[in-house]
Amino acid sequence: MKIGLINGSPKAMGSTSEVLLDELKTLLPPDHDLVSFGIHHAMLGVNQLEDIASCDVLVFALPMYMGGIPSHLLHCLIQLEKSLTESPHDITVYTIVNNGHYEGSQNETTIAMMKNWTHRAHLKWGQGIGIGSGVMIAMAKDVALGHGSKKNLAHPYSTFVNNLLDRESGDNLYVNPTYPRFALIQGANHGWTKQGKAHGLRKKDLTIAP
Amino acid sequence: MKLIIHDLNQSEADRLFGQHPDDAILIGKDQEIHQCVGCFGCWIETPGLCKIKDDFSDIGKRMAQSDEVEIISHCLYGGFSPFVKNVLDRTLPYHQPYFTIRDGEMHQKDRYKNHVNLSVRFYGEDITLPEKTTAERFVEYNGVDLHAQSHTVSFYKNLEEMEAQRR
Repeated sequence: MKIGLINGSPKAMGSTSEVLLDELKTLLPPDHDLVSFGIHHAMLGVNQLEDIASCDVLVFALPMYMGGIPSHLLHCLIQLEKSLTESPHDITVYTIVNNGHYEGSQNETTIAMMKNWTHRAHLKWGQGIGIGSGVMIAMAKDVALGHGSKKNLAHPYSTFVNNLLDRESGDNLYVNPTYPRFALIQGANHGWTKQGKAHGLRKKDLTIAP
Repeated sequence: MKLIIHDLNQSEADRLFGQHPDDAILIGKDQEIHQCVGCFGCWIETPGLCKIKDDFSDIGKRMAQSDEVEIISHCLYGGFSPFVKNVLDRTLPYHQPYFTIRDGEMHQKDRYKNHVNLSVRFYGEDITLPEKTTAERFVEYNGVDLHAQSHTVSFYKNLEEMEAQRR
């Protein structure tokens, strides 16, 4: 089976979507043909369109931007829709959406948009996973799945992979971070202050209203 | 002031906004825009201003000067068209980096004191029921995320229908 792993982050390197796809790859048996695609800009080349169309399964990984799909990826989904509907394709689509907030459920509308795209492109919808505070998982790159920040990801990923390998559909799954929300907010807010400091800014500078 | 963000071509915009009030600012596809790359420069390097040098580096400030934001967009998969979504993606500097809880969920703190009234008008001949449901939830999410005073969403088959209702 040919599985297309599509990184839909606007960041070409070091994105959370990339880490989430890398994590998924470790769970996929080696006898499948895995092909990685990076969609970081608003235009797909002819070769990319053809390669994506030749897959049996597509897994999109993307960040939630303002409650939806990042704009560059929308451009590419329009291109893909046009190309995929020109001839019938037997492709099942799965989606992993992460956001910077705590609740994985905040990705619900973005997953719904991807599902709506799947129908417009005449493809089969598989399943979506919405992951809250995805960056916590990205920062724990060397931690094994099922441990530390990745504790809550293990079971949903296992279900997701089983469905993907059988090309079955399933209910969307939502993952919250392992840590309590108040602790995460406290830590993340401290992190912003620290990052501002690295640029010579004080905490109150980060809150100015130009 | 009213901010109108739309994805219409020039003749459609002229028809719809021909007599727009003087205090309305139009944002359309004639303006140069680049995609948000999630660098967070607008939070930790140049707070409140996007580092990308185009017509949208001060979009957060422009939002803050508005009491009403009207969005007119083709309904695409239950969300905005690429241009309108690009504008929304670039409003990150409207928020602070710091987190808070709003409506029981984690969101960003307000950078500005204003709370806009958000009205969204989607158009499209063949918007499906799932797309409508998604669009309603999406606008509701935007309302909470932007800490809007109110939000409304409406659907039109075409611009003629919108024109008649918008008068």
